[in-house]
Amino acid sequence: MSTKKILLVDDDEDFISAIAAILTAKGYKTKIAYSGIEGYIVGQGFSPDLIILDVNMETANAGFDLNKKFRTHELFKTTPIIMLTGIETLAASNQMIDMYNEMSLNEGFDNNVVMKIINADGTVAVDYLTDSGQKYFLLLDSFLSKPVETDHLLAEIHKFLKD
Amino acid sequence: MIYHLDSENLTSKVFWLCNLRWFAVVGILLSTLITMLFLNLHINFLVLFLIAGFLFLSNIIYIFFLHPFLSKGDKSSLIKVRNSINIQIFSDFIFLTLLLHYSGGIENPFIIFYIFHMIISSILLSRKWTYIHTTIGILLFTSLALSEYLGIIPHYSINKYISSLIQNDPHYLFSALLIFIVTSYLVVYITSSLAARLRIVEQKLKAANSDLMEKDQIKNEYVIRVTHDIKGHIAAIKSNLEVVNKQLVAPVDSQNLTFIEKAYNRTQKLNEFIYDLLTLTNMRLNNKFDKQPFDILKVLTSVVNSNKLFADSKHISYTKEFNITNPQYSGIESSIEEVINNLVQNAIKYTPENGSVSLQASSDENEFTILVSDTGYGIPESDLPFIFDEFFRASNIKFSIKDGTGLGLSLVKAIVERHKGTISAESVVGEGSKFVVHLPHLSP
Repeated sequence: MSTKKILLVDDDEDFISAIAAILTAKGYKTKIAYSGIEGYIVGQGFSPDLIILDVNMETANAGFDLNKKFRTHELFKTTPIIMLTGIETLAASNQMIDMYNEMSLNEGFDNNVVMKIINADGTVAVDYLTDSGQKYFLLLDSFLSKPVETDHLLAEIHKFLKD
Repeated sequence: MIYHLDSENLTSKVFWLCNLRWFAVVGILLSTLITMLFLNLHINFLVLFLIAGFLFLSNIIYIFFLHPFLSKGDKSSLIKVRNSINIQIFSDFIFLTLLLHYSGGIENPFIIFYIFHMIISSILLSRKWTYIHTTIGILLFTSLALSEYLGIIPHYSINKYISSLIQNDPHYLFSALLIFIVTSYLVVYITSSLAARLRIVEQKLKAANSDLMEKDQIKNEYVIRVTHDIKGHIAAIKSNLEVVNKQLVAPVDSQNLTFIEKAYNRTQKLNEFIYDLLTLTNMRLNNKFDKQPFDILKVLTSVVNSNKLFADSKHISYTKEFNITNPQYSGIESSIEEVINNLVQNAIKYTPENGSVSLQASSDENEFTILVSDTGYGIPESDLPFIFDEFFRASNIKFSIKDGTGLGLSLVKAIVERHKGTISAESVVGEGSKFVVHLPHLSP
């Protein structure tokens, strides 16, 4: 079995280097990028099997923007992406979505909170505001909250890489 | 004072005006019918019925044209609504004048009905328009009375005494008209002053409300910002300590390892503490209550299973007894799980080895009752009133069991209250404690 490659993108150097050390110890090959822009460039040279992404980097939603860019790139179309972040999320229910739609109409929605929708198949979607101010609905493979239990993170990685 | 058109009020009130008009139509028909049947008056009743019919038609037309503006609040449709009110009041005055003309003119006591529209217009419209309408009403009525008096148009008398009084004594006519004019302007002055004052109060309240909302928003953003930063730092500390603690990169000698372990454990505790604190704060700040139906039995079972190892490690006899007919409950699943888990964990934590802990749950048509009891250290009676206070820890265990945050029960209480439930505790030192949670079924 060849060594699986994981790309780590996070502007918190202290945090992500520790995660890299843990993953390296578990036998993965890792590469770190410290911003969304860097992540996009490094990713193309590295062609990872899995990507771990922070959300709040050079801009509040840089991670979501990068995720979106990866998804539309031929090379990363099917690469699993784990979002790992300390931002506040709201789990969405039907009642929540109704409320959200109503609030969006009146432009009163609290955009500091990203709404997280857990789909029936276990995937997660988020609704966020891009830097150009557009609302965007992004389907995610996985969404973990910081601080994360290492075992939880490893289990999530195993799930996607099936190793 | 500048009068701001208030979209919501104006559109709803224009329909209120239209609704009133239905009553006016019915009122005219009934009073005409009663007069026709019971009073011996020489009036052309057919004309009165016709006028009622036209008033009815006019109302249908107003409603038809106003309908598209019902849900719109923009400026141009507001102006259209206001114009419609102007037209309605003006044409109502014409109908009233016609009605009065055919039913006795100045002799008819219904002349005071002009005042109704003057009041309505001072409630709905600006002062300028109110005085315009009042003046139109007065002009219509005085010209009706004067034309009838001067014989320009016929006078249909309903009361021969008043009729002869007017014919013989012009003072009566002029003083009646004067009183009518003065009364009209006075009424309009009083109502529009009151309405203006109410509008000022309303605007002040609105401004105060939006100010509060803004402050609340700032506070929320602050908490979210702090949450993100704290989580980031803890995540970094925890992951770095883990690298050393698990000796992933290089071995650590055992002497250093104990210190690292302590740091790592304290970080875990800090993590739990921050989690409790932030959840509690968030709950206080947000009034959003996002409930969903879920299976409470599943939650209870999951709590039982996740605490089994902990109970076993202390050789605690750990029993459950569920008596639930319908396990469907509507609330925040993760929060309810947190409540039960917190109580069970506390019970195990504060019960010495070989003790016992039990979790009982039952349901009836009104509520779920969850009871967690233990044979633990108990809580001193003097501490019982404070156990749900933030950062409070019972005096008998404060120094012996150090890893409590003092926030667990505060969080439990906040969640239970958010679900409109109650929680109470009983305890005897050295014998044990009992926590009872009542969760009423919330209407969907």
